[in-house]
Amino acid sequence: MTKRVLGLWVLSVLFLAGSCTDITPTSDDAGLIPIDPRTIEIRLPFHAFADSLQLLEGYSSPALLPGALVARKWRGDLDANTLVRFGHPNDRIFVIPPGSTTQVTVADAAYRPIRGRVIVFFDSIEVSGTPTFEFKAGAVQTPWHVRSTSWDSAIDTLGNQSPWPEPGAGPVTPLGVARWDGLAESDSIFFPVDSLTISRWFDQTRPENGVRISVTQDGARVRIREAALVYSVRSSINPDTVVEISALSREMTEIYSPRAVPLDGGFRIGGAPAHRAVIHFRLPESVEGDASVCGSVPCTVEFRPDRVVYAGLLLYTQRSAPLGLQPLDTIGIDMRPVLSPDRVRRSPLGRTVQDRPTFIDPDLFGDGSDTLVEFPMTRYVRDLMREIAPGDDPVSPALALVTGFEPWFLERATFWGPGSGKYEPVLRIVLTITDGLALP
Amino acid sequence: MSGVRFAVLAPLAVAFFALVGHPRAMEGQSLLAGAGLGVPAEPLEARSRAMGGAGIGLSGWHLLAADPAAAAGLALPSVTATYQPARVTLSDGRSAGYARFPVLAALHPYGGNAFWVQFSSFLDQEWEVRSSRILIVSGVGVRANDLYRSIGGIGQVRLGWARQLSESLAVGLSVGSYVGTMERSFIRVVEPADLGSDVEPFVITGRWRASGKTAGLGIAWDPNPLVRIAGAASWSGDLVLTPFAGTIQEKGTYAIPIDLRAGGTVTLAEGLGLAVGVSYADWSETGRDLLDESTRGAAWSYGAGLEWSRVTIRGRAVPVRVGARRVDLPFLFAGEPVSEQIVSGGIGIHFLEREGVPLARLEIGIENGSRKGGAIAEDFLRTTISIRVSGN
Repeated sequence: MTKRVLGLWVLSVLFLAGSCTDITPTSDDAGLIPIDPRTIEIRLPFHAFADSLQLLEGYSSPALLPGALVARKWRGDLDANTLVRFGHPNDRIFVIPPGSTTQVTVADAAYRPIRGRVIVFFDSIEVSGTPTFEFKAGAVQTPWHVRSTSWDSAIDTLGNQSPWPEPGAGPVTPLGVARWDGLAESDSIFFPVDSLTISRWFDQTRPENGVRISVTQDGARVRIREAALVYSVRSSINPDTVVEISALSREMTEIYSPRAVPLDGGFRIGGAPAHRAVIHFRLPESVEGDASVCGSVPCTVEFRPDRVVYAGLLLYTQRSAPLGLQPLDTIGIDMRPVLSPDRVRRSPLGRTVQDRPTFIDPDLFGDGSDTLVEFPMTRYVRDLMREIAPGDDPVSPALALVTGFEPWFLERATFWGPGSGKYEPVLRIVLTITDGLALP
Repeated sequence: MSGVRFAVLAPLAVAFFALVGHPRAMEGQSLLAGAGLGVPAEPLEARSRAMGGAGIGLSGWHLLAADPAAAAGLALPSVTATYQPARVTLSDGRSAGYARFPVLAALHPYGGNAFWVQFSSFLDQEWEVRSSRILIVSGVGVRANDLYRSIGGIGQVRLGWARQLSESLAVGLSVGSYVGTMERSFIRVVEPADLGSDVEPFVITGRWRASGKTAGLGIAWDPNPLVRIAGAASWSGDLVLTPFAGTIQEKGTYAIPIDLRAGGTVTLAEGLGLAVGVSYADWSETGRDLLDESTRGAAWSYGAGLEWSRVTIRGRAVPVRVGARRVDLPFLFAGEPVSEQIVSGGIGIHFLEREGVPLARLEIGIENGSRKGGAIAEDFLRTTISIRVSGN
């Protein structure tokens, strides 16, 4: 019995021990904290935190943008045409044979086109200029490649560069002219197409197949949402039967002029094809702090990852040129490490170092804006300062500034670069410093 | 109710009492733990607490952390545990408290000697500060929340020997070491809206492990059957706090003073005993090892209490006790000395007895006290429950 009693005592004690949870007593008197941490800010000019800035371009293609653009002398300098290529024709239609008394249909693969029309649907929200707009359509005569074509080049792939005979995808065989009043109630126009042109487009081996759509009115800028080819065909089995068939565009892109002027040392991000700006970081191990940082006497501030509570890259916006390629909408800019810093151009990019892209108002890229924009990058700067543990991959010192996805839109964001005086890029680092947790 | 059934139900009653009498979520001990090396956590069991004593010179034979000689007369293997929940009310109305086991001990007699091992508390270091402030960073106000937290505590593990040299004289010795860890951390979180969306908290943590030698000597003398007088001295080498777990903090070494205790019990009348106790330690040397030398020098404690042992319930002895005590805390708080004033009371219950020797006993002591230092004033209600089971 004594053992049972002892067991009960032990159990009750264990029960008591397990049923209690300590909660530490708390004061709100900061004077009781026995250490005096200081939170300070260090601002490093570009060449104090980076070796160089590298600008890259040519990523992605305007063909991957939703829809396409037509413009003429938009903001005085932007011309843009849309190129459309339609897909395979139906390989057969089904008709009721002549004299048949039943509704049974038979396949007819030898049908012939007799007429058609190219229908263009506009994005009625993205329309600039004074209605009524006049559009021209023409059949492209030169082989072209949808992912690489540009205002000057029909094809610009590795080992195959071919210019347009006339810049802007010319010459073309005119299909017609159509007008649009720009009203939301009517969001489309069409151009008649003759049977011969349709028959040519049926041959999918012809690389010149396609329609060029342009606007003729200066100051116009209209986004095309979609294009379709609707054509009528006559049956070879029953010539009295005419069938109307619709085909949406298979490939659509935009070509534009002028190209972005070379940027002298600044950041250019976005566009289509997209630009990237790559910063090659080289953080110092410490900086000499002045009285504003250290108090009464100068001091050396050592950079350690656990001290960094915030880091942000400060860039001043710059007026984008040409004017027609200034951002019209909010642009989201991301920062992603270049995984192979020795092959920056072709290197894949790592995961973003930000929680979300930094979204920038388009007005900041207009005349005289020169506005400071901050890109938070605390974790990346901490990782750069961290010593590499055995077996861990080093953090790439090359960081690419890119749009949230490529291409974001045709327009680009530009920022002042190193050597631009008061608009010099700055790395802002906020640190908390203590002398350690001293014993009593 | 049979004695056996009573003994079986008793532990359940203990658990019920402790849980109902105190909040389930117990809180830390005292903000005054921020002073010096912390707040002393004397390893006194419930009977000493109830009688306002210094844990020495009580009648009978016990396993007392502060009185090595008190175990000399224990003839049966014994284990004892002391559980101590408490609630502290701060001057700003907030509650705090703690729950701990200040003493755990086991004894085995052999050849007229008593050998024991004991784990006991020494210093408590659990407290924290939460503060919201506005920092000026490059001339701009930035909101920040600071948290400074100290957790852990320092205890002692001791091996002891005690023996009755004669019917009236007993001695005890102990040797031991400091054990335990201390962790201090500081966390600052700045307001993202004032700085940027990608703010990371600043965290710095230090962990130290305690070590150091201790030794104790005690003597108990019964000049006549109505009087017991006892004295004890506890020597300590330096308390060393060594950083560990990857922290890069400095090592700390602190001189710990000799702790002297004296006490006794006088039987005033049949069933009525008076106990007194006093302790003394000079912490001046420790002060020289502290950054701010914030010790008060000599720290005294003294108290007295009465025990009325004629109360019985269903044939079981249930002694009733009252007492009062004053304790100087060794470390200054905000430059001011701090003392505790305590009034106490309690009971004991002997569940199982064989031939007049209690085999299972429960002691409960309740203390109501206050202490003040700087801007901090605290009232506390502390319950101590000690359980001892003996048998072969």
